[in-house]
Amino acid sequence: MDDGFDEYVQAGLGRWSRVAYLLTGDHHAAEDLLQNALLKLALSWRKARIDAPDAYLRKILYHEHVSRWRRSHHLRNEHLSERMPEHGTGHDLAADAIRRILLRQALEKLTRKQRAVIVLRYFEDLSEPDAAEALGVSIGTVKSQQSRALARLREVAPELHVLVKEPRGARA
Amino acid sequence: MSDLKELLEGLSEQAPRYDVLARVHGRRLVRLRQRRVAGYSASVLAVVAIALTMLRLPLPGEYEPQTSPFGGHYDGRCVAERLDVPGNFAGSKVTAGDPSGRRLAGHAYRSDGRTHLITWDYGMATEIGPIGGNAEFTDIAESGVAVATATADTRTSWLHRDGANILLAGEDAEALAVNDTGTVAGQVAGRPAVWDDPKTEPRPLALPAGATGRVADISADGTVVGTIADNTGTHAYRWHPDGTGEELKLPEDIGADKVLEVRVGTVDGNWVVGSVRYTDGIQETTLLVRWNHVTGQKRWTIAPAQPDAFGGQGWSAGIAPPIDTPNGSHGGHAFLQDMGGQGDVLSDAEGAVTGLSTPEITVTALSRDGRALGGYQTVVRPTGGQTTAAVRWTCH
Repeated sequence: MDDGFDEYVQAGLGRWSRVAYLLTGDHHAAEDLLQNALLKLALSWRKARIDAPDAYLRKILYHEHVSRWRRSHHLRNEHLSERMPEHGTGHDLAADAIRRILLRQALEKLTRKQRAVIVLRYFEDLSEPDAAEALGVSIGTVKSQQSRALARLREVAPELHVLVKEPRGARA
Repeated sequence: MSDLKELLEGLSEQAPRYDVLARVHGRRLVRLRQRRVAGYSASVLAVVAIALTMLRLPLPGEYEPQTSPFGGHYDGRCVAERLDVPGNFAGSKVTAGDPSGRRLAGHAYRSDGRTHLITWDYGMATEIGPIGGNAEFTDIAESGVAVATATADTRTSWLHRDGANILLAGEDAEALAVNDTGTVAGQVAGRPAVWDDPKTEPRPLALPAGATGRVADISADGTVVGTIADNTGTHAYRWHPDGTGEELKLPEDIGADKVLEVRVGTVDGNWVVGSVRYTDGIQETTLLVRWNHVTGQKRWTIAPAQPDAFGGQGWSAGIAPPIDTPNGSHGGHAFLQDMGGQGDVLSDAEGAVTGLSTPEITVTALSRDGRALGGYQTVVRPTGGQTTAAVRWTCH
Protein backbone atom coordinates (compact mmCIF):
# COMPACT_ATOMS: atom_id res chain seq x y z
CA MET A 1 0.00 0.00 0.00
CA ASP A 2 1.45 3.36 -0.94
CA ASP A 3 -1.10 5.67 0.60
CA GLY A 4 0.44 6.36 3.96
CA PHE A 5 -0.72 3.21 5.68
CA ASP A 6 2.75 1.79 6.25
CA GLU A 7 4.07 5.10 7.51
CA TYR A 8 1.15 5.46 9.86
CA VAL A 9 1.59 1.95 11.26
CA GLN A 10 5.37 2.17 11.61
CA ALA A 11 5.10 5.45 13.47
CA GLY A 12 2.73 4.09 16.09
CA LEU A 13 3.67 0.43 16.20
CA GLY A 14 5.58 0.62 19.45
CA ARG A 15 2.75 2.34 21.30
CA TRP A 16 0.06 0.04 19.91
CA SER A 17 2.22 -2.97 20.77
CA ARG A 18 2.28 -1.83 24.38
CA VAL A 19 -1.48 -1.28 24.45
CA ALA A 20 -2.11 -4.75 22.99
CA TYR A 21 0.22 -6.30 25.54
CA LEU A 22 -1.49 -4.55 28.44
CA LEU A 23 -4.88 -5.73 27.17
CA THR A 24 -3.88 -9.37 26.81
CA GLY A 25 -0.98 -9.88 29.18
CA ASP A 26 0.55 -12.32 26.72
CA HIS A 27 2.99 -11.58 23.91
CA HIS A 28 1.50 -13.93 21.36
CA ALA A 29 -2.08 -12.96 22.10
CA ALA A 30 -1.03 -9.31 21.89
CA GLU A 31 0.66 -9.85 18.56
CA ASP A 32 -2.39 -11.61 17.22
CA LEU A 33 -4.74 -8.93 18.52
CA LEU A 34 -2.68 -6.17 16.95
CA GLN A 35 -2.34 -8.04 13.68
CA ASN A 36 -6.11 -8.59 13.44
CA ALA A 37 -6.84 -4.96 14.24
CA LEU A 38 -4.34 -3.65 11.70
CA LEU A 39 -5.70 -6.01 9.06
CA LYS A 40 -9.16 -4.55 9.56
CA LEU A 41 -7.71 -1.07 9.37
CA ALA A 42 -5.83 -1.97 6.17
CA LEU A 43 -8.96 -3.36 4.54
CA SER A 44 -10.85 -0.13 5.12
CA TRP A 45 -7.93 2.30 4.83
CA ARG A 46 -8.60 3.61 1.34
CA LYS A 47 -12.34 3.73 1.20
CA ALA A 48 -12.92 4.93 4.73
CA ARG A 49 -11.07 8.25 4.30
CA ILE A 50 -10.15 8.02 7.92
CA ASP A 51 -9.74 11.45 9.47
CA ALA A 52 -8.65 10.25 12.89
CA PRO A 53 -6.86 6.93 12.35
CA ASP A 54 -5.77 6.67 15.99
CA ALA A 55 -9.34 6.78 17.24
CA TYR A 56 -10.44 4.42 14.48
CA LEU A 57 -7.71 1.88 15.19
CA ARG A 58 -8.30 2.17 18.91
CA LYS A 59 -11.95 1.35 18.40
CA ILE A 60 -11.10 -1.69 16.27
CA LEU A 61 -8.48 -2.88 18.73
CA TYR A 62 -10.64 -2.61 21.83
CA HIS A 63 -13.69 -3.99 20.07
CA GLU A 64 -11.66 -6.96 18.86
CA HIS A 65 -10.36 -7.50 22.38
CA VAL A 66 -13.74 -7.30 24.12
CA SER A 67 -15.72 -9.10 21.42
CA ARG A 68 -13.44 -12.12 21.71
CA TRP A 69 -14.61 -12.32 25.27
CA ARG A 70 -18.23 -12.04 24.15
CA ARG A 71 -17.82 -14.58 21.38
CA SER A 72 -16.30 -17.06 23.76
CA HIS A 73 -19.77 -17.90 25.01
CA HIS A 74 -20.64 -19.61 21.80
CA LEU A 75 -17.27 -20.23 20.21
CA ARG A 76 -16.19 -21.74 23.46
CA ASN A 77 -12.82 -22.73 22.11
CA GLU A 78 -10.37 -20.45 20.57
CA HIS A 79 -6.73 -20.98 21.33
CA LEU A 80 -4.06 -19.59 19.15
CA SER A 81 -1.14 -21.81 18.52
CA GLU A 82 2.53 -21.10 18.95
CA ARG A 83 2.22 -19.87 22.50
CA MET A 84 5.68 -19.89 23.99
CA PRO A 85 6.51 -19.64 27.66
CA GLU A 86 7.18 -16.08 28.64
CA HIS A 87 10.57 -15.17 29.93
CA GLY A 88 11.43 -12.93 32.80
CA THR A 89 13.57 -9.91 32.21
CA GLY A 90 16.36 -11.21 34.41
CA HIS A 91 16.48 -8.17 36.64
CA ASP A 92 13.15 -8.39 38.39
CA LEU A 93 14.47 -8.04 41.86
CA ALA A 94 13.90 -4.33 42.04
CA ALA A 95 10.81 -3.25 43.91
CA ASP A 96 9.31 -1.67 40.82
CA ALA A 97 9.64 -4.91 38.95
CA ILE A 98 7.97 -6.80 41.76
CA ARG A 99 5.13 -4.32 41.75
CA ARG A 100 4.79 -4.79 37.99
CA ILE A 101 4.54 -8.53 38.46
CA LEU A 102 1.89 -8.03 41.12
CA LEU A 103 0.03 -5.68 38.82
CA ARG A 104 0.22 -8.13 35.97
CA GLN A 105 -1.19 -10.90 38.13
CA ALA A 106 -3.89 -8.57 39.43
CA LEU A 107 -4.90 -7.52 35.90
CA GLU A 108 -5.49 -11.17 35.08
CA LYS A 109 -8.27 -11.18 37.67
CA LEU A 110 -10.24 -8.52 35.79
CA THR A 111 -12.80 -9.11 33.09
CA ARG A 112 -11.72 -8.06 29.62
CA LYS A 113 -13.94 -5.01 29.68
CA GLN A 114 -12.64 -3.92 33.07
CA ARG A 115 -9.10 -4.40 31.90
CA ALA A 116 -9.82 -2.40 28.76
CA VAL A 117 -11.20 0.48 30.83
CA ILE A 118 -8.11 0.48 33.04
CA VAL A 119 -5.80 0.60 30.02
CA LEU A 120 -7.83 3.31 28.32
CA ARG A 121 -8.11 5.52 31.38
CA TYR A 122 -4.79 5.02 33.11
CA PHE A 123 -2.36 4.08 30.36
CA GLU A 124 -3.78 5.86 27.36
CA ASP A 125 -4.93 8.72 29.58
CA LEU A 126 -8.27 9.01 27.83
CA SER A 127 -11.20 10.92 29.28
CA GLU A 128 -14.34 9.02 30.24
CA PRO A 129 -16.21 10.16 27.09
CA ASP A 130 -13.29 9.15 24.87
CA ALA A 131 -12.99 5.79 26.63
CA ALA A 132 -16.72 5.26 26.19
CA GLU A 133 -16.39 6.10 22.49
CA ALA A 134 -13.53 3.65 22.05
CA LEU A 135 -15.44 0.84 23.72
CA GLY A 136 -18.80 1.70 22.18
CA VAL A 137 -20.46 1.89 25.61
CA SER A 138 -22.02 4.63 27.73
CA ILE A 139 -20.01 6.89 30.01
CA GLY A 140 -21.89 5.33 32.91
CA THR A 141 -20.60 1.92 31.91
CA VAL A 142 -17.04 3.22 31.81
CA LYS A 143 -17.48 4.67 35.30
CA SER A 144 -18.98 1.52 36.74
CA GLN A 145 -16.42 -0.76 35.08
CA GLN A 146 -13.59 1.45 36.29
CA SER A 147 -14.97 1.46 39.81
CA ARG A 148 -15.33 -2.31 39.85
CA ALA A 149 -11.92 -2.80 38.32
CA LEU A 150 -10.21 -0.63 40.91
CA ALA A 151 -12.08 -2.34 43.71
CA ARG A 152 -11.03 -5.70 42.33
CA LEU A 153 -7.41 -4.60 42.02
CA ARG A 154 -7.43 -3.35 45.60
CA GLU A 155 -8.90 -6.66 46.70
CA VAL A 156 -6.51 -8.97 44.87
CA ALA A 157 -3.41 -6.82 45.22
CA PRO A 158 -3.61 -4.92 48.50
CA GLU A 159 0.16 -4.43 48.30
CA LEU A 160 -0.46 -2.01 45.45
CA HIS A 161 -2.10 0.56 47.66
CA VAL A 162 -1.34 3.23 45.10
CA LEU A 163 -4.13 1.88 42.90
CA VAL A 164 -6.75 3.78 44.83
CA LYS A 165 -5.82 6.98 43.06
CA GLU A 166 -8.14 8.36 40.42
CA PRO A 167 -6.78 9.32 37.00
CA ARG A 168 -5.05 12.66 36.93
CA GLY A 169 -7.28 15.67 36.52
CA ALA A 170 -10.50 13.76 37.16
CA ARG A 171 -11.37 13.99 33.49
CA ALA A 172 -15.02 13.36 32.86
CA MET B 1 6.98 4.61 40.93
CA SER B 2 3.90 5.71 42.69
CA ASP B 3 0.76 5.43 40.66
CA LEU B 4 -1.13 3.08 38.46
CA LYS B 5 -0.22 4.88 35.25
CA GLU B 6 3.47 4.54 35.97
CA LEU B 7 3.06 0.90 36.89
CA LEU B 8 1.21 0.27 33.64
CA GLU B 9 3.89 2.06 31.69
CA GLY B 10 6.49 -0.08 33.38
CA LEU B 11 4.59 -3.23 32.57
CA SER B 12 4.07 -2.16 28.98
CA GLU B 13 7.82 -1.82 28.51
CA GLN B 14 7.98 -5.61 28.55
CA ALA B 15 6.21 -5.57 25.19
CA PRO B 16 8.55 -5.58 22.21
CA ARG B 17 7.57 -3.82 19.04
CA TYR B 18 5.41 -6.45 17.33
CA ASP B 19 6.51 -6.28 13.70
CA VAL B 20 3.28 -7.48 12.21
CA LEU B 21 3.11 -5.19 9.18
CA ALA B 22 4.40 -7.76 6.68
CA ARG B 23 1.90 -10.33 7.93
CA VAL B 24 -0.90 -7.77 7.77
CA HIS B 25 -0.07 -7.15 4.12
CA GLY B 26 0.17 -10.88 3.47
CA ARG B 27 -3.23 -11.54 4.99
CA ARG B 28 -4.70 -8.54 3.19
CA LEU B 29 -3.50 -9.91 -0.14
CA VAL B 30 -4.95 -13.31 0.71
CA ARG B 31 -8.28 -11.67 1.49
CA LEU B 32 -8.25 -9.80 -1.78
CA ARG B 33 -7.28 -12.94 -3.65
CA GLN B 34 -10.03 -14.90 -1.97
CA ARG B 35 -12.50 -12.28 -3.03
CA ARG B 36 -11.36 -11.93 -6.59
CA VAL B 37 -9.79 -15.10 -7.87
CA ALA B 38 -12.10 -17.73 -9.26
CA GLY B 39 -11.22 -21.33 -8.53
CA TYR B 40 -9.82 -20.84 -5.05
CA SER B 41 -12.31 -23.26 -3.62
CA ALA B 42 -15.83 -24.35 -4.26
CA SER B 43 -16.87 -23.10 -0.87
CA VAL B 44 -15.52 -19.62 -1.30
CA LEU B 45 -16.90 -19.49 -4.81
CA ALA B 46 -20.31 -20.42 -3.56
CA VAL B 47 -20.33 -17.46 -1.24
CA VAL B 48 -18.85 -15.18 -3.87
CA ALA B 49 -21.50 -16.34 -6.30
CA ILE B 50 -24.23 -15.40 -3.90
CA ALA B 51 -22.96 -11.91 -3.36
CA LEU B 52 -22.36 -11.30 -7.01
CA THR B 53 -25.81 -12.59 -7.84
CA MET B 54 -27.32 -10.32 -5.24
CA LEU B 55 -25.42 -7.41 -6.72
CA ARG B 56 -26.49 -8.44 -10.24
CA LEU B 57 -22.93 -8.86 -11.41
CA PRO B 58 -21.62 -11.58 -13.72
CA LEU B 59 -20.57 -14.78 -12.00
CA PRO B 60 -16.91 -15.81 -12.19
CA GLY B 61 -16.35 -17.70 -15.43
CA GLU B 62 -15.13 -20.90 -13.80
CA TYR B 63 -17.96 -21.21 -11.37
CA GLU B 64 -20.13 -24.27 -11.88
CA PRO B 65 -23.28 -24.97 -9.89
CA GLN B 66 -22.75 -27.93 -7.60
CA THR B 67 -24.95 -30.92 -7.10
CA SER B 68 -25.82 -30.72 -3.45
CA PRO B 69 -28.71 -30.74 -1.03
CA PHE B 70 -29.15 -27.16 -2.12
CA GLY B 71 -28.78 -27.96 -5.80
CA GLY B 72 -26.38 -25.09 -6.31
CA HIS B 73 -29.30 -22.67 -6.12
CA TYR B 74 -28.49 -20.36 -3.31
CA ASP B 75 -31.86 -18.78 -3.05
CA GLY B 76 -32.30 -18.34 0.63
CA ARG B 77 -33.56 -21.75 1.71
CA CYS B 78 -32.66 -20.82 5.25
CA VAL B 79 -35.50 -18.55 6.24
CA ALA B 80 -35.05 -16.08 9.08
CA GLU B 81 -37.67 -15.51 11.73
CA ARG B 82 -37.44 -13.03 14.57
CA LEU B 83 -38.22 -14.79 17.81
CA ASP B 84 -40.97 -13.52 20.07
CA VAL B 85 -39.80 -11.96 23.30
CA PRO B 86 -42.25 -11.48 26.17
CA GLY B 87 -42.60 -7.99 27.63
CA ASN B 88 -41.06 -4.75 26.54
CA PHE B 89 -37.35 -5.12 26.00
CA ALA B 90 -34.67 -3.09 24.31
CA GLY B 91 -33.16 -6.05 22.49
CA SER B 92 -32.66 -9.78 22.54
CA LYS B 93 -30.16 -12.48 21.59
CA VAL B 94 -29.97 -16.23 21.14
CA THR B 95 -26.75 -17.48 22.74
CA ALA B 96 -27.21 -21.28 22.68
CA GLY B 97 -29.23 -24.04 21.08
CA ASP B 98 -29.82 -27.75 21.58
CA PRO B 99 -28.57 -30.35 19.08
CA SER B 100 -32.07 -31.15 17.81
CA GLY B 101 -32.82 -27.56 16.87
CA ARG B 102 -36.02 -27.56 18.91
CA ARG B 103 -34.77 -25.45 21.79
CA LEU B 104 -32.94 -22.13 21.82
CA ALA B 105 -31.73 -20.17 24.82
CA GLY B 106 -30.83 -16.52 25.12
CA HIS B 107 -31.85 -13.34 26.79
CA ALA B 108 -33.51 -9.99 26.40
CA TYR B 109 -32.27 -6.84 28.01
CA ARG B 110 -33.87 -3.66 29.20
CA SER B 111 -32.45 -0.26 28.46
CA ASP B 112 -30.89 -0.28 31.94
CA GLY B 113 -28.74 -3.20 30.84
CA ARG B 114 -30.35 -5.93 32.97
CA THR B 115 -30.67 -9.22 31.18
CA HIS B 116 -33.65 -11.55 31.46
CA LEU B 117 -32.97 -15.13 30.46
CA ILE B 118 -35.34 -16.71 27.97
CA THR B 119 -35.73 -20.15 26.46
CA TRP B 120 -37.64 -20.91 23.27
CA ASP B 121 -39.28 -24.26 22.60
CA TYR B 122 -40.34 -24.58 18.96
CA GLY B 123 -40.13 -20.78 18.93
CA MET B 124 -42.41 -20.29 21.94
CA ALA B 125 -40.73 -18.13 24.56
CA THR B 126 -40.54 -18.77 28.29
CA GLU B 127 -39.02 -16.05 30.44
CA ILE B 128 -36.71 -17.31 33.17
CA GLY B 129 -35.95 -13.79 34.42
CA PRO B 130 -32.71 -12.29 35.71
CA ILE B 131 -30.81 -14.82 37.80
CA GLY B 132 -27.72 -12.85 38.71
CA GLY B 133 -25.43 -10.25 37.21
CA ASN B 134 -25.34 -10.28 33.45
CA ALA B 135 -25.91 -14.03 33.20
CA GLU B 136 -26.17 -15.52 29.73
CA PHE B 137 -27.04 -19.02 28.67
CA THR B 138 -24.03 -20.89 27.35
CA ASP B 139 -25.69 -24.21 26.46
CA ILE B 140 -29.02 -26.02 26.43
CA ALA B 141 -29.58 -29.77 26.03
CA GLU B 142 -32.36 -31.59 24.22
CA SER B 143 -34.08 -32.33 27.53
CA GLY B 144 -34.30 -28.61 28.25
CA VAL B 145 -31.68 -28.52 31.00
CA ALA B 146 -29.44 -25.49 30.46
CA VAL B 147 -26.46 -23.67 31.94
CA ALA B 148 -25.85 -19.94 32.34
CA THR B 149 -22.80 -17.95 33.36
CA ALA B 150 -22.40 -14.42 34.68
CA THR B 151 -19.03 -12.79 34.10
CA ALA B 152 -19.17 -9.70 36.29
CA ASP B 153 -16.26 -9.58 38.74
CA THR B 154 -15.76 -13.31 39.05
CA ARG B 155 -17.58 -15.94 37.07
CA THR B 156 -20.67 -17.52 38.57
CA SER B 157 -22.73 -20.23 36.93
CA TRP B 158 -26.11 -21.88 37.30
CA LEU B 159 -27.77 -25.07 36.15
CA HIS B 160 -31.33 -24.41 34.98
CA ARG B 161 -33.44 -27.55 35.43
CA ASP B 162 -37.16 -28.12 35.97
CA GLY B 163 -37.77 -24.41 36.41
CA ALA B 164 -35.14 -24.01 39.12
CA ASN B 165 -31.77 -22.25 38.92
CA ILE B 166 -29.12 -24.07 40.92
CA LEU B 167 -25.85 -22.31 41.72
CA LEU B 168 -22.86 -24.39 40.69
CA ALA B 169 -20.33 -25.16 43.41
CA GLY B 170 -16.81 -23.80 43.10
CA GLU B 171 -15.20 -20.39 42.94
CA ASP B 172 -14.81 -18.73 39.53
CA ALA B 173 -17.08 -21.33 37.95
CA GLU B 174 -17.76 -21.02 34.23
CA ALA B 175 -20.29 -23.52 32.89
CA LEU B 176 -19.88 -24.02 29.16
CA ALA B 177 -21.78 -27.18 28.29
CA VAL B 178 -24.43 -29.50 29.69
CA ASN B 179 -25.82 -32.87 28.61
CA ASP B 180 -29.32 -34.26 28.94
CA THR B 181 -28.70 -35.72 32.37
CA GLY B 182 -27.45 -32.41 33.77
CA THR B 183 -23.74 -33.18 33.88
CA VAL B 184 -21.97 -29.86 33.36
CA ALA B 185 -18.58 -29.20 31.77
CA GLY B 186 -16.71 -25.93 32.03
CA GLN B 187 -13.85 -24.17 33.74
CA VAL B 188 -13.06 -23.63 37.39
CA ALA B 189 -10.49 -20.91 37.97
CA GLY B 190 -9.64 -21.32 34.31
CA ARG B 191 -9.08 -25.09 34.41
CA PRO B 192 -11.31 -27.68 32.69
CA ALA B 193 -13.68 -29.41 35.07
CA VAL B 194 -16.92 -31.40 35.27
CA TRP B 195 -19.80 -31.09 37.72
CA ASP B 196 -21.47 -34.46 38.20
CA ASP B 197 -23.77 -32.73 40.66
CA PRO B 198 -24.24 -28.96 40.71
CA LYS B 199 -23.99 -28.75 44.49
CA THR B 200 -20.78 -30.69 44.90
CA GLU B 201 -17.31 -29.47 44.04
CA PRO B 202 -16.38 -30.07 40.39
CA ARG B 203 -13.73 -32.63 39.51
CA PRO B 204 -10.82 -31.40 37.38
CA LEU B 205 -10.10 -32.88 33.97
CA ALA B 206 -6.54 -34.06 33.47
CA LEU B 207 -4.15 -31.93 31.44
CA PRO B 208 -0.73 -32.79 30.06
CA ALA B 209 2.10 -31.22 32.05
CA GLY B 210 2.45 -27.53 31.28
CA ALA B 211 -0.75 -27.33 29.23
CA THR B 212 -3.86 -25.23 29.65
CA GLY B 213 -7.24 -26.33 28.40
CA ARG B 214 -10.69 -25.13 27.52
CA VAL B 215 -13.89 -27.13 27.39
CA ALA B 216 -16.27 -26.97 24.42
CA ASP B 217 -18.98 -29.59 24.80
CA ILE B 218 -20.04 -32.71 26.68
CA SER B 219 -21.78 -35.76 25.22
CA ALA B 220 -24.50 -37.94 26.69
CA ASP B 221 -21.95 -40.41 28.10
CA GLY B 222 -19.83 -37.70 29.73
CA THR B 223 -17.15 -37.44 27.05
CA VAL B 224 -15.85 -33.87 27.04
CA VAL B 225 -14.19 -32.17 24.07
CA GLY B 226 -12.25 -28.94 23.79
CA THR B 227 -8.77 -27.68 23.17
CA ILE B 228 -5.50 -27.66 25.04
CA ALA B 229 -2.58 -25.32 24.50
CA ASP B 230 1.07 -25.93 25.30
CA ASN B 231 4.37 -24.56 24.09
CA THR B 232 4.00 -26.47 20.80
CA GLY B 233 0.65 -24.90 19.95
CA THR B 234 -3.05 -25.60 20.30
CA HIS B 235 -4.57 -29.05 19.91
CA ALA B 236 -8.07 -30.48 19.67
CA TYR B 237 -8.63 -32.67 22.71
CA ARG B 238 -11.01 -35.29 24.06
CA TRP B 239 -11.49 -36.24 27.73
CA HIS B 240 -12.95 -39.63 28.61
CA PRO B 241 -15.76 -39.78 31.18
CA ASP B 242 -13.11 -40.75 33.77
CA GLY B 243 -11.33 -37.43 33.24
CA THR B 244 -8.28 -38.69 31.35
CA GLY B 245 -7.79 -37.51 27.80
CA GLU B 246 -5.85 -37.42 24.57
CA GLU B 247 -5.31 -35.29 21.52
CA LEU B 248 -7.46 -35.45 18.39
CA LYS B 249 -5.02 -35.50 15.50
CA LEU B 250 -5.24 -32.80 12.83
CA PRO B 251 -5.86 -33.67 9.15
CA GLU B 252 -2.74 -34.86 7.35
CA ASP B 253 -3.26 -32.18 4.69
CA ILE B 254 -1.88 -29.63 7.09
CA GLY B 255 1.48 -31.38 7.23
CA ALA B 256 4.22 -29.03 8.29
CA ASP B 257 2.17 -25.90 7.66
CA LYS B 258 1.76 -23.50 10.54
CA VAL B 259 -1.47 -23.96 12.46
CA LEU B 260 -2.91 -20.57 13.38
CA GLU B 261 -6.07 -21.46 15.23
CA VAL B 262 -7.99 -24.55 16.34
CA ARG B 263 -11.65 -24.54 17.30
CA VAL B 264 -13.65 -27.43 18.67
CA GLY B 265 -17.38 -26.87 18.64
CA THR B 266 -19.44 -29.92 19.50
CA VAL B 267 -19.48 -33.64 20.28
CA ASP B 268 -22.46 -35.70 19.18
CA GLY B 269 -22.24 -39.43 19.83
CA ASN B 270 -18.86 -40.56 18.57
CA TRP B 271 -18.29 -37.51 16.40
CA VAL B 272 -16.53 -34.27 17.21
CA VAL B 273 -16.77 -31.25 14.91
CA GLY B 274 -14.37 -28.32 14.78
CA SER B 275 -12.12 -26.35 12.49
CA VAL B 276 -8.48 -25.52 11.88
CA ARG B 277 -6.99 -22.43 10.29
CA TYR B 278 -3.46 -22.76 8.95
CA THR B 279 -1.06 -21.15 6.53
CA ASP B 280 1.60 -22.36 4.14
CA GLY B 281 3.29 -18.99 4.42
CA ILE B 282 1.48 -17.56 1.42
CA GLN B 283 -2.16 -18.35 1.84
CA GLU B 284 -4.40 -19.13 4.78
CA THR B 285 -6.83 -22.00 4.63
CA THR B 286 -9.59 -23.04 7.00
CA LEU B 287 -10.70 -26.66 7.25
CA LEU B 288 -13.95 -27.90 8.72
CA VAL B 289 -13.03 -31.16 10.49
CA ARG B 290 -15.08 -34.06 11.81
CA TRP B 291 -13.34 -36.58 14.08
CA ASN B 292 -14.62 -39.94 15.25
CA HIS B 293 -13.18 -39.97 18.73
CA VAL B 294 -13.64 -43.74 19.07
CA THR B 295 -12.11 -44.98 15.82
CA GLY B 296 -9.78 -42.05 15.14
CA GLN B 297 -11.31 -41.56 11.69
CA LYS B 298 -11.50 -37.97 10.48
CA ARG B 299 -12.92 -36.05 7.54
CA TRP B 300 -12.34 -32.50 6.46
CA THR B 301 -13.29 -29.97 3.84
CA ILE B 302 -12.40 -26.37 3.05
CA ALA B 303 -14.53 -23.74 4.77
CA PRO B 304 -15.02 -20.12 3.66
CA ALA B 305 -13.96 -18.84 7.09
CA GLN B 306 -13.62 -19.98 10.68
CA PRO B 307 -17.10 -21.14 11.69
CA ASP B 308 -18.79 -19.69 14.76
CA ALA B 309 -21.21 -22.60 15.32
CA PHE B 310 -21.02 -26.33 14.63
CA GLY B 311 -23.57 -29.12 14.11
CA GLY B 312 -22.78 -32.69 15.16
CA GLN B 313 -23.32 -34.25 11.74
CA GLY B 314 -20.61 -32.08 10.24
CA TRP B 315 -22.29 -28.72 9.76
CA SER B 316 -20.81 -25.31 10.35
CA ALA B 317 -21.98 -21.72 10.22
CA GLY B 318 -20.18 -18.41 10.40
CA ILE B 319 -19.46 -15.16 8.62
CA ALA B 320 -17.74 -15.25 5.24
CA PRO B 321 -15.17 -12.57 4.39
CA PRO B 322 -16.54 -9.38 2.83
CA ILE B 323 -16.39 -9.26 -0.94
CA ASP B 324 -14.96 -6.41 -2.99
CA THR B 325 -17.06 -5.36 -5.96
CA PRO B 326 -17.02 -2.30 -8.23
CA ASN B 327 -19.75 -0.94 -5.98
CA GLY B 328 -17.69 -1.28 -2.83
CA SER B 329 -17.04 -3.93 -0.24
CA HIS B 330 -20.09 -6.00 0.46
CA GLY B 331 -20.47 -7.10 4.04
CA GLY B 332 -19.73 -10.65 5.10
CA HIS B 333 -22.63 -13.04 4.67
CA ALA B 334 -23.60 -15.64 7.20
CA PHE B 335 -22.90 -19.03 5.66
CA LEU B 336 -24.03 -22.55 6.39
CA GLN B 337 -21.90 -25.42 5.12
CA ASP B 338 -21.71 -29.19 5.44
CA MET B 339 -18.84 -31.64 5.10
CA GLY B 340 -19.50 -31.94 1.39
CA GLY B 341 -18.61 -28.28 0.98
CA GLN B 342 -22.21 -27.45 0.12
CA GLY B 343 -24.23 -24.83 1.83
CA ASP B 344 -26.34 -21.76 1.75
CA VAL B 345 -26.33 -18.14 2.77
CA LEU B 346 -28.66 -17.16 5.59
CA SER B 347 -31.35 -14.68 4.73
CA ASP B 348 -31.83 -11.50 6.73
CA ALA B 349 -34.49 -11.17 9.39
CA GLU B 350 -37.33 -8.70 8.95
CA GLY B 351 -36.17 -5.16 9.65
CA ALA B 352 -32.50 -6.13 9.46
CA VAL B 353 -29.85 -3.48 8.97
CA THR B 354 -27.82 -4.61 5.97
CA GLY B 355 -24.73 -2.43 5.94
CA LEU B 356 -21.54 -2.62 3.98
CA SER B 357 -18.38 -4.25 5.28
CA THR B 358 -19.61 -5.10 8.77
CA PRO B 359 -21.37 -8.41 9.39
CA GLU B 360 -24.70 -7.74 11.01
CA ILE B 361 -25.50 -11.37 11.76
CA THR B 362 -24.07 -13.48 14.56
CA VAL B 363 -24.74 -17.22 14.54
CA THR B 364 -24.52 -18.86 17.96
CA ALA B 365 -26.40 -22.16 17.60
CA LEU B 366 -26.61 -24.85 14.93
CA SER B 367 -28.51 -28.12 15.12
CA ARG B 368 -26.78 -31.43 14.41
CA ASP B 369 -28.57 -31.76 11.04
CA GLY B 370 -27.91 -28.21 9.89
CA ARG B 371 -31.60 -27.37 9.57
CA ALA B 372 -32.03 -25.02 12.52
CA LEU B 373 -29.82 -22.12 13.53
CA GLY B 374 -30.04 -19.44 16.17
CA GLY B 375 -28.34 -16.14 16.70
CA TYR B 376 -29.07 -12.46 16.45
CA GLN B 377 -29.06 -9.65 13.96
CA THR B 378 -28.94 -5.88 14.08
CA VAL B 379 -32.39 -4.53 13.28
CA VAL B 380 -34.08 -1.16 13.03
CA ARG B 381 -36.01 -0.29 16.15
CA PRO B 382 -39.58 0.97 15.45
CA THR B 383 -39.00 3.94 17.73
CA GLY B 384 -35.77 4.83 15.98
CA GLY B 385 -32.19 3.68 16.21
CA GLN B 386 -30.96 0.12 16.07
CA THR B 387 -30.97 -2.86 18.37
CA THR B 388 -30.29 -6.59 18.27
CA ALA B 389 -33.03 -9.13 17.77
CA ALA B 390 -33.03 -12.85 18.52
CA VAL B 391 -33.36 -14.78 15.27
CA ARG B 392 -34.04 -18.39 14.31
CA TRP B 393 -33.25 -19.71 10.84
CA THR B 394 -34.98 -22.77 9.49
CA CYS B 395 -33.49 -24.47 6.42
CA HIS B 396 -35.69 -26.51 4.10
